[in-house]
Amino acid sequence: MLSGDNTFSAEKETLYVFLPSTSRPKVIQERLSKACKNIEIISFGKIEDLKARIVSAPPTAVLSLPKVLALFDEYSVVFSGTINGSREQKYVLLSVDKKAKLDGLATARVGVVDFLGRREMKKFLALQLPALPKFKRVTKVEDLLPLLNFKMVDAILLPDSHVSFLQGKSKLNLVATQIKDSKLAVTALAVRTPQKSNNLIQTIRSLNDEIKRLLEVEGWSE
Amino acid sequence: MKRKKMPILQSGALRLFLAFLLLMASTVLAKDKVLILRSAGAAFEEALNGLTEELGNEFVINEIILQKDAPLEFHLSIQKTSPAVVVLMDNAAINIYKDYVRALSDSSLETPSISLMAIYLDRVIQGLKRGTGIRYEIPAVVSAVNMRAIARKPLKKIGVVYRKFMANLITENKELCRAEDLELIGLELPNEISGKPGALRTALRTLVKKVDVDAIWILNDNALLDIKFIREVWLPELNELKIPSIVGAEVLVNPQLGLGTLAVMPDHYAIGKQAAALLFELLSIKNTGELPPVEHPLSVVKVLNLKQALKRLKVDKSKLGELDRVLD
Repeated sequence: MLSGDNTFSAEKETLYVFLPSTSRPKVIQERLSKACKNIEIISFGKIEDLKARIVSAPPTAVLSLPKVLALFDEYSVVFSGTINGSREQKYVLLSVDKKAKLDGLATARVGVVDFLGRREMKKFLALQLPALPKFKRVTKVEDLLPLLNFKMVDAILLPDSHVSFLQGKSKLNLVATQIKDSKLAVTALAVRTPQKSNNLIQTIRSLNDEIKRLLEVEGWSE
Repeated sequence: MKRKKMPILQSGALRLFLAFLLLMASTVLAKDKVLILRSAGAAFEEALNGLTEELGNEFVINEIILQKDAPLEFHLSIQKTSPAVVVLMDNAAINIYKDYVRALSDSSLETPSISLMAIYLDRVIQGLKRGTGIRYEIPAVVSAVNMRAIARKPLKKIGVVYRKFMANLITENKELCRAEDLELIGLELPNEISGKPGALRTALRTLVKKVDVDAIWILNDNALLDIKFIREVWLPELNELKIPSIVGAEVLVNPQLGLGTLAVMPDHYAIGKQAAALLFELLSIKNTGELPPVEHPLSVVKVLNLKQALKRLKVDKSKLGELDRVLD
């Protein structure tokens, strides 16, 4: 599920983007490419594709969630996005009509967008929740809603910034439950060789607000 | 005849290497096997990619593509490899497996199966005691919620024309729509409608003019989407009634055809991933005698006929980023 072709021109810096967001990868690629004319951009919809491509054609930089960036040893974060002035946002549970029971999580079924792959995601979620429920993993943010529509889960787990997207789309009475100490770090930029990536770093840093919203950040922080 | 003496294993490294080989071999032997029977084609390959990527290297996966000798090859393969699970992609594959199961001397020998990409799956897998799967049809609630999300025009009542044998499907869809504050209103036609476009025309006009529906959900039913019906009923009526419609195939939203407004279709890669999750679940409860329930597809691909959507749906252009393709 790559967007665009995969041939790079020799001079251009390259940026791979992988964001489990409410926008389609193709749209992110098109809009980001228009905003960064000097950078070759490929946006991925699947973590498996990103992993494979980083091995076969390492890019100058990767824009993704820090948890994803941590999978790639050769890349180090140069700056992070912020939402409401913070580099992290809360993970919340969303359920229909009544709040999710945190003390009953171990026997619950919870839907979540998988951005790390089955095993890594399970490890990550074990650190986020007081008990590990049975997970139903989906590939896109919007796929969380059918899980509730079809009563396949008791609740869905998502970052705070995605709650309004689903509440705006659905007429279900979606009720949020805060989870103590459960947080997801916001989109960040990681580069392979900082000294050789100045142009790319500056370009991403100076993106306008509309593009930053597309990348699900409000600002950048060193 | 002179026999060659086997060399004695004196080297520690060699012993270690052989031990490693044995360990690897036993690991391979310990892996569960999955046998896939599928049709050829891009959609099936996409589903297969999703399935195999998700299963990773935890299983030995064998695949048979449907062709002339497939039934025999499949029967031999299932006997030879004793798979833990059989994955069946499309109606033909399911029927081949059902033939195999019917011929078993002992029904307890039936291998658990996961069926996908089959039309009217619940009916087709009847008779498979250890069968579950993922339906292929996208429920109206998913399609309508996605249309409502990009429309400025209010969307509350959705009309659908269906044949009698689909009555249960419509009842289930009405229930799912209700929870999303959508009203699905169906008009039933007899099962045999061939050569009778008048009944479809009357039903459509009733839904739009008398019931005042906001959009039409067009089912993927070969009889209702017969070329004669498309030419004589769907195209002229929808154009005259100026009503947005939801369809289940990309070709129907082609702006040159001008039939559908929004196509909402299964995401085949995601279906493969969903099937893998079902497979893990199936294996985790295999000794309990339970069976995971048949699931709806969770992920969709959305394609919009922009020109028509601007006129009939008053589409919110800021929401176009949520669509997979916008045709103009």
